[in-house]
Amino acid sequence: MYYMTGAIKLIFFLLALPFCAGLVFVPHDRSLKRIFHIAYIYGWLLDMAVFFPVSMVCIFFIEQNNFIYCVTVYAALQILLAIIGVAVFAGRRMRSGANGNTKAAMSDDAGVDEVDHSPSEKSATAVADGHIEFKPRGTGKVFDAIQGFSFSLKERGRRNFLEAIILWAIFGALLVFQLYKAVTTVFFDGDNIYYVVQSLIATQQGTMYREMPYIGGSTELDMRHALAVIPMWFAYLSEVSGIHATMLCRTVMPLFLLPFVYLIWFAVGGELYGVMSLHDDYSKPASERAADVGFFMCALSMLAIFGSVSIYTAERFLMTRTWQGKAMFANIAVPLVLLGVLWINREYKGWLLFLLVNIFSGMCTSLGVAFTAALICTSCLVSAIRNRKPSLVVYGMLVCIPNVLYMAAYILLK
Amino acid sequence: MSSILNYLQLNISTLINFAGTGFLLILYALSYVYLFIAEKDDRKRTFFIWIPAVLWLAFMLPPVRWFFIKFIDSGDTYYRMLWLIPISATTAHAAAKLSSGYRLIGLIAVSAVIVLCGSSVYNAKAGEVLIVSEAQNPYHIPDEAIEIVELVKKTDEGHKIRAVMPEEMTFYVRQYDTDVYLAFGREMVMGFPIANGMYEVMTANKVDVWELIRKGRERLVSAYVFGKFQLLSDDPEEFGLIKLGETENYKVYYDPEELEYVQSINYFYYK
Repeated sequence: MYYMTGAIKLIFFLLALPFCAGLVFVPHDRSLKRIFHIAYIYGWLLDMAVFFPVSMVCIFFIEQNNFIYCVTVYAALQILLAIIGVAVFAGRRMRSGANGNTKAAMSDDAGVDEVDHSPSEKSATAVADGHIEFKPRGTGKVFDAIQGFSFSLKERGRRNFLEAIILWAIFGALLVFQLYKAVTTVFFDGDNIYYVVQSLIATQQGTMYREMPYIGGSTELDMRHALAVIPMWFAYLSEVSGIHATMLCRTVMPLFLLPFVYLIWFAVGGELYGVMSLHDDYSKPASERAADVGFFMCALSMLAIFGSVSIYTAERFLMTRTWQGKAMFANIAVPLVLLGVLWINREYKGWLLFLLVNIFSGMCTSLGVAFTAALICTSCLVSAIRNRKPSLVVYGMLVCIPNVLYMAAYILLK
Repeated sequence: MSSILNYLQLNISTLINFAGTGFLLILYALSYVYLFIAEKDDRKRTFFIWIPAVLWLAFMLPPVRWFFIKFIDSGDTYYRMLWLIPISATTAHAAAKLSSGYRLIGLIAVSAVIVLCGSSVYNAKAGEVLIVSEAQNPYHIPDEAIEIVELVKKTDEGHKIRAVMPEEMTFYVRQYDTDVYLAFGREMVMGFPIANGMYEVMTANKVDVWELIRKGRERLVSAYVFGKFQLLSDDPEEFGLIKLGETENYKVYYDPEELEYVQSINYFYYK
């Protein structure tokens, strides 16, 4: 019962609220079914970006029992952002519906009719021609769930379709295996004695970064780590769900973080292969694109398991120290910046994503802001040259303003 | 010039440490070359070839290392620059592109290479030490650590207790309950040791029990945990300690005299 209640609360605060907050970023003319994962990513980042100032104010300006203030204020803000997200999304859809735009735009965008162009599939005798088509129109619920893919078993579609199914099944099995091992396997790392205990101190003692984690007892504010507030975010989740902070970090969070990392790589893969992205590639059949992404995800998953070639690789950090800020920086912040890089090279504005990731990277690790700034500026410079758009350099520098402020604060507080 | 060479040497050494067995970077290098030749899409070339090229160049440049040490971090965290390069994604995309006609066969081939040449995280080691073990509970700490905390807290539930225990247990008990304070902990191995002398007594070949209790009474220590494998100079009960219980490998005592004193001190006793 304890686990069930905790799980329900965690699903609400970790999945439902961020998703609702992310709805504010979904344009009126985009099908939510196709970019729900991007909406969730944006909502999650927005929630994290709001947690940063809330926790900072509580850490620096409230000395005693500051954690409860942080939890109360942030929970209220999280709920407020979710309400705003739902309200804005609903308002946009109603306005678009009233203007008669939504149905036409969404049906185009949903790609229901665009994949196979042979005349026969649109005719009433499609089945009689031996050309079997699956159309997600209400009755095709399974394929509604996979976003309007229209698989033709003619051409080379049969092999692509089967490959897509098999590859995604393999990826699913690999993911389930990784999640099982994450719950049942202990990876000893000394840094857990610091980070996990800081989360536990916040929930049990009510104070953030003012108690010595190794031996206990009050101490002055730990400036070096106080700006990296990811442990306090875990403490928040522990408090609202009622799950012990150590259990949450080491057993529960990998069940969220690992799929979330793969969700981000799925977004990247979607951009690369033109499926469920902001700019789908309709020149290739959907089944072929789905198979490409499936292969990409399987290969990434295998490399995550067997990429522990040294103690320094991002793969090693992902699997053995999943809940630590450094690992989240390498496996969440960096891929999100890479997603933004793909967007800006497609003329889709990724600036908000960069801004939110910059804030998040500072929460992960104090050095994160320097690294994301380096990656964004380098990527914008190269993209500006490749696309002949000098403005990209300026935009790249502007979105790194939070990084500069963070580093200044870090140096001043040290 | 020599400092430039020094920084270059440092960068190469960092790269070698990062590479480990070398498998991941060799696979990445092959993938990079393949994509350089075969990838025609401009956006993908920018993403997989040109941006990483600049990052690799920046990583190897001595002035960048100098700047990093001077202004970012003087510790050994420069290897994290390599996290910015999409090594796995490049390899995965190259494999996907190469196998585009025959994906299942391609996946089998790629998987075989990865499994045979890679290093499984489930056999991960730090140096020669295996860091992987089976979880005994959802906290991912030894069951014995939980039993020790439960025993220690029997004396004064809901309030803070300072305990001294063998070093290996100090890594875990506070991950279960932060009401248990410690005489020493991980800082002893982190380079900023606590100078209360208890660590030296506890880690000696033969533990001087009376010396430990004497030092403990100066520092509000009221709980004592001894390993059954430890050689003790005397039976702790001879000095007034009372046995609370034992686990498979440890015996737990408390000092009633010190506990009474601790309970009288409001600032320590009050939760």
